[in-house]
Amino acid sequence: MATYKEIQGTAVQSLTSSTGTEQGQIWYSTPAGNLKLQGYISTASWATGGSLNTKHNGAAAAGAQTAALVAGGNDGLPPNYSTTATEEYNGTSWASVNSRSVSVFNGSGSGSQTAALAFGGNLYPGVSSASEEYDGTNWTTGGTLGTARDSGCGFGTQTSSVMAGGYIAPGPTTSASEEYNGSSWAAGNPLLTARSEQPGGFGTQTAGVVFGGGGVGMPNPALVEDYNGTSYTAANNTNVGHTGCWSAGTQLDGIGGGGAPTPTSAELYNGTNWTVTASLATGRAGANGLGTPSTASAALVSAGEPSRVVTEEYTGAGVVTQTITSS
Amino acid sequence: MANNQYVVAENWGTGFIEHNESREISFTGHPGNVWQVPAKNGTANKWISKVLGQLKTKDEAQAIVDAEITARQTEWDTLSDSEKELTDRPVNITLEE
Repeated sequence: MATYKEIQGTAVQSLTSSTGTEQGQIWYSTPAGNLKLQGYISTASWATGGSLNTKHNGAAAAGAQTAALVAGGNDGLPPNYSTTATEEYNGTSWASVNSRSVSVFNGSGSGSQTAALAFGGNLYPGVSSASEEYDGTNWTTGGTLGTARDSGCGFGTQTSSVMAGGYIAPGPTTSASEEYNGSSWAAGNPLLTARSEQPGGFGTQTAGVVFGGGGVGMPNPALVEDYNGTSYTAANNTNVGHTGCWSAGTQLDGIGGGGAPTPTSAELYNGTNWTVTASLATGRAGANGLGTPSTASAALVSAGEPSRVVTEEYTGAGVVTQTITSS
Repeated sequence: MANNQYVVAENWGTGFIEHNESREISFTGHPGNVWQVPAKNGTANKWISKVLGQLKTKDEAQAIVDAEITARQTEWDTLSDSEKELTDRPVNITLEE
């Protein structure tokens, strides 16, 4: 029988790595004590994640797939259809933690599980200008938005956030955009297109993305704008329109989708173009996206209409390392 | 010939649908814990066994989905005008063959 060296021209190397560098590579992993193959390219997929304890449609959310936070949102219960309940996710299960003080739905969130910011939202009746900061244990009052609103989008970190678009009760969809510096909100340059009905927003205060949404005057729910910390510029449209979006990631590594008219849809953004990726198993609008699509190959979509508590987790396409066995 | 099969199974969260399963077949969740997966497919059949899914004919599944949506529509219809602005009236879903 021919040896690997006779076929390949080189012997199998012994390496200290458990992951390869190129597809088709075979090596002996000394720490694992077995042969490895940097194998096939897997396709992107969604799998079910842990279920929330409470309904949180249109919640404020922050964090990553293995350290996420969801606060407030619509629990479907009158009289004000919102909850202050807050939950943390550890990558496997959700646990209830200290509740926030302001009870709203269709609010926005930013930051991480241990340094989050929740802002705006629908008080039913009325809209909120309040923001609250979370330190991983407790909520405290943050700065007040210049324009009270709900159903906009937020992105950034606890000390460097953006709130864009939304409804200004009792009326119109706004293009207003504001920036938070950790203590107060200041008006920034507006969106090119006023939008509400939960557009998607992800990235940082100096490299953000706003897509989709709706509202009176919104001509196309596929419209996208990039933000550079100073102004918004038109970017390439999403492949399908999205209203009632979820979103996560960075300007160069983003993911978002959902909502009407294609509630199971998901798209990736690389800073230039949108690419349709694997669809969710369960259609949803007003959900929350968390994490990034490629960091640890993970993003999380939680909650969403109609009052779902189920979550799904994303793994992007990539090369899979396989262990070669004799059986 | 039917392209899909329908089962009722409650989504328990992590592990209900796994990445290797969702890479191989398409899952579509509907109201009433009704799940649509490909017919005559080994991966789908294994998944149905795993989740202890109750197989339903398309008509049976459609009836479950309809009942769930009708209940939600009835609930929505009783809301005040201002409450109706919070969410859209649930729309009917027609399952595929």
